Amino acid sequence: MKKTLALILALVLALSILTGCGQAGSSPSTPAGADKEDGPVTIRIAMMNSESEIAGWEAMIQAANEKLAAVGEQITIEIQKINASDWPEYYQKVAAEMAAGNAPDLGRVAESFMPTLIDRGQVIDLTEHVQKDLDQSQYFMKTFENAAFVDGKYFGLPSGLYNYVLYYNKDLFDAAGVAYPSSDWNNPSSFEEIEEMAAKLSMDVEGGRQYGFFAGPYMAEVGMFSKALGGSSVFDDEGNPIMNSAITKQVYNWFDRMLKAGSMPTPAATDIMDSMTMFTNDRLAMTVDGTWFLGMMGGLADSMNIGIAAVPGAKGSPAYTSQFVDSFVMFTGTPHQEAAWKALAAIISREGFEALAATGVGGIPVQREVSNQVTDNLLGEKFSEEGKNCAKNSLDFTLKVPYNAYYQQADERVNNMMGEWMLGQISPDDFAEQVQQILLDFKAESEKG
Amino acid sequence: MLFPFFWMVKTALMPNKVTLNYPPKLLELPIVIDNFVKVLRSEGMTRSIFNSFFIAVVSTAGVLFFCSIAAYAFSKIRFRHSGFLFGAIFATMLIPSQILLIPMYVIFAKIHWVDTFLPLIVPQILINGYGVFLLRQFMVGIPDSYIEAAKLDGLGHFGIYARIMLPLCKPPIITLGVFTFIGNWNNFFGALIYLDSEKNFTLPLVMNVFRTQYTVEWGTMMAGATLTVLPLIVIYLFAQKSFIEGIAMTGVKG
Repeated sequence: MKKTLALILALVLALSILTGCGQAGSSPSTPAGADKEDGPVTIRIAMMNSESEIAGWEAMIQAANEKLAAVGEQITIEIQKINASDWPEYYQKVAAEMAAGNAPDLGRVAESFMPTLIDRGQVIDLTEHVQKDLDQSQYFMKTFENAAFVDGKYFGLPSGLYNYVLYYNKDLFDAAGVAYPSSDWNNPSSFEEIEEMAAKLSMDVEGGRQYGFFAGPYMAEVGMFSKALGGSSVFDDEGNPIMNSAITKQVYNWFDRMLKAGSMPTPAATDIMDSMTMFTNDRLAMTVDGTWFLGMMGGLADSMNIGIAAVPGAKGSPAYTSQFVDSFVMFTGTPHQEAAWKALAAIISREGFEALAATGVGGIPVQREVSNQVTDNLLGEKFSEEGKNCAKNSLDFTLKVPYNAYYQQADERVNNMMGEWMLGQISPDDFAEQVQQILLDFKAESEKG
Repeated sequence: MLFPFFWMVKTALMPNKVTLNYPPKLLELPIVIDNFVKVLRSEGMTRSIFNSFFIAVVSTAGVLFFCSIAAYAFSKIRFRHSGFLFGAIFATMLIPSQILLIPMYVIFAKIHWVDTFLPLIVPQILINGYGVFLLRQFMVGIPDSYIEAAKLDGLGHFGIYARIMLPLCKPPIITLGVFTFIGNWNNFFGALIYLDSEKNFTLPLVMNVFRTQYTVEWGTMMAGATLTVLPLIVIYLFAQKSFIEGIAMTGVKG
């Protein structure tokens, strides 16, 4: 018996030792309180890791490290790869690290999380650095102001942006004898024209239905369409929700007419095949979707005849496209603010963006010189110049998604209820009222604290 | 029941660009193994398989040992406050893990356990209300006369536990073992929070890189899922008889 007991105890001991074999990676950052800027400093940047994108971010960081070394800075940037599925998981990991006093120095964060980070004081105000050290003429500063910019302060610097454009299948247009939509952002095809085109392009075909148009009527899209019609996106200037305004109802009714006419797929159809799969399988003629698909469209140029146009707008007025910007931030708690800023400036330098652009990931760069080159690379040689120019020009018509402390949660709630309207159970006007009430409830809850 | 498995393997054997083709076909030709090659060649894959296997095996062994010995104590030994202690262990099941996330992380960071396997193994071994409850309920049903007879034969508590109770508890122990192994093999969130270095990453973490912010490589994901599920199928096949017995006897639903 003693032998058995000894054996078990030995086993437990061995297991305890072995479980420590995943050795704690020595924290890459120099510990807090260390001599901050005198010796070599390692700056840790937390990045969401995905197989198709990480090479791009690694190239960008490598270029930044080379730039720092070239000017004699003893700063090395290391990526902390966070293999999260989504931004909430990424945020939980970083929040836990911050609570334990082990926050990364820098990070790349989705725009939707910026209000939370700013409200909780988890990111550092970079305004002084931006105004003093950054050559603003090199950047699309409008995109900086549409990102992590609150009360005149910069809390993050855009790492690249995505926005909406209208992709269309030229072959389906040609077959139906319909003129292509406008690629002029100052004079886009009107809502009525798009509705008319969609009706002509919708028909029953072998094995199902071909639809004319699709756009997800999410708040960001309804917001940009409302703005084009003279309203504003989701909130008024005082931050009050306006999703039941006459203009917003006009947008919802526009969608509703196309749904009822069979020109736009309902959720019942998109549950079976998502809109982009419909588009790439010649089952959808036009789709409003993000520039995150530019690379895919370029890849399809061999087998499909794709065009890019401005999103719908009011006749004779500019169109607006909601932009999604992920931002580089400096987390509160970094012991190396100066070094972290130098690292950040090197990351968003022309060299950094060029290295990123060469890999085709990260969205459209906000560095002017590199931006056009990226769009050209993503769409490839076979894509029409008109389409490329339309995608490039879209950057001058971007609109901030009005993220605040509750936008993300409200948006999820609205999306969950959207089917009720899109499947015809309630009217578009009633749905607009419901959306408004959801936003008001979240606003009240948010104000209560 | 087998259709989802068939679809997973079928998707894994298709090129990524045709995985969402419409209309879907039952069999897409030609069959390609590129996705499996890509998964197996991806950075850190071999190491992650070892890490996951190590964590799952050590956790399972630890959970089975500590839960069974605690269950024996709670079911067959009378000592002061045993009811309260059992209730306290059972109550740990009622606390949502999200509430514990930050405090646990802070504690583990202070004792330098972050970026080791210890936070993924030790807590569940030391306090595992589910395992203790499962085995205790089974052991309560074993007649005390067995214990009395063993005592008359000169066995102490550890001897009774090791020679009488464990063999009699084989079905629920295997059930708990299978559940624990599967839970640890698939544990994504714990690994995400506590592991930082790529050399320590587990299989679910490495698999997750095939999902991007806007797109999913379904063929690659399904190839990874197929490889991930293979060990579980093998374990289930080996433990099938006792596992089903264990579930039937303890009334636990999978």
